[in-house]
Amino acid sequence: MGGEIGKGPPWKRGSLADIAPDILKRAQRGDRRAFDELVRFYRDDLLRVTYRFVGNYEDARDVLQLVFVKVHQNLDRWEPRAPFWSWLYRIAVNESLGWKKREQRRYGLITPAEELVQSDAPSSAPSPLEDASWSETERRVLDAIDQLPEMQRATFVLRYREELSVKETAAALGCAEGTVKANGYHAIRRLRKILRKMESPAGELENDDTSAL
Amino acid sequence: MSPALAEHLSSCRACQAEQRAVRDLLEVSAAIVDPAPPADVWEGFPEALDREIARARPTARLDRWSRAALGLAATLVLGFALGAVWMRAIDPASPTAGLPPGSAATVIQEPRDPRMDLYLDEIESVLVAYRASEQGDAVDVFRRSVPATMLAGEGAPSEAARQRLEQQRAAREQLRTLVLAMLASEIESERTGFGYIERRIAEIAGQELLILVH
Repeated sequence: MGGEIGKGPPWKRGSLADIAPDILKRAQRGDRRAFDELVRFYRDDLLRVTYRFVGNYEDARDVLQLVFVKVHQNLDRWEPRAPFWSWLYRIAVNESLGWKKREQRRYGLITPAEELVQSDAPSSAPSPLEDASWSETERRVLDAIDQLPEMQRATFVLRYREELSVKETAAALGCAEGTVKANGYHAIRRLRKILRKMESPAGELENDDTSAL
Repeated sequence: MSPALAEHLSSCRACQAEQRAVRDLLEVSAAIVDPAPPADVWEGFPEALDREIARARPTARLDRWSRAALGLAATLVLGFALGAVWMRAIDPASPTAGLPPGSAATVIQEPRDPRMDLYLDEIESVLVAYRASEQGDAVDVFRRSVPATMLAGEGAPSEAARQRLEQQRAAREQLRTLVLAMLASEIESERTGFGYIERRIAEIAGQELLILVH
């Protein structure tokens, strides 16, 4: 993959270059061996993406399975207007967000009828962060990211955790670059608000405490 | 960063603090290291994926060429269907001639999709209205072919003729919309398919058109 991916720290970069075109073409023609190769090529990067949305590897793997089933079903329809990886990322993000919604519904946190109304509201799902071993600050930031509305969360994760460029994030989300910038801006604003609220013992919003994150 | 913004930042403590806070947040976010996946994370994954792929219901879809061929065929069939409705309406030997709009559908005995009846009825009434407006037009053919808005002064059509032209234009637009809606509906409908359309043509216009279609 081209672009500015290389900016990020090495442990985040993964192997985001696209697979060889001939393997992709063979997979598109239904060659199962080529498809398996494609799965092996992308699975680590996509596992990281789905993990960053769902918060644990067991579920991330299940979501990834859904991603590859979708890819298999629609591969012959993919046209090289954008990098292949951006198509995969889009499916991974959509499946991860869909999984989150289904989980919330299953545990009665959101009903299908409320879904449309709440689609832009912060998630009230329990955070899966309790089991991990991050510092308190990191845990709070991750928890706050998890509370962002869907599109803001997707934008923030791809732009600032996956460290994609604005252009790449737009390609992966299938939206305009302006939308990425706007969602990124709103995500940061909301994150700071959530973090300030977490820091406040009473859970109340304080005036701009600029020393906080 | 623009020079004006940089200048403001250099002197505004609140904005400096804001910038620092945002930068801190992004740095923390970017520096968070995910725990490594379990060593056995891919164990059994290919087999599970195989099962899921096999289980996933194959979606009924067509490739690009099939879709194009389907669209072309639907257009042809609809063209014949519309022509048939028109010809029946003006043919004195037709069993539906002289009947009010919408009655063509009543001579067909076979159970059918009510949406299609609705579309055909609407198309038929639009065609009848369109034909009536054309027959009643006193303006010569040349003038009728010129957009009404381009004609003014001596020799321009009367107000009544102008209104008729507008009505014709509206009728054409309405007809176009209905045809598109009908086409979209038929393509969408997997249940009825072309067999249904063919039966309707056979009923409305006779077998000759079907032979042409085939």
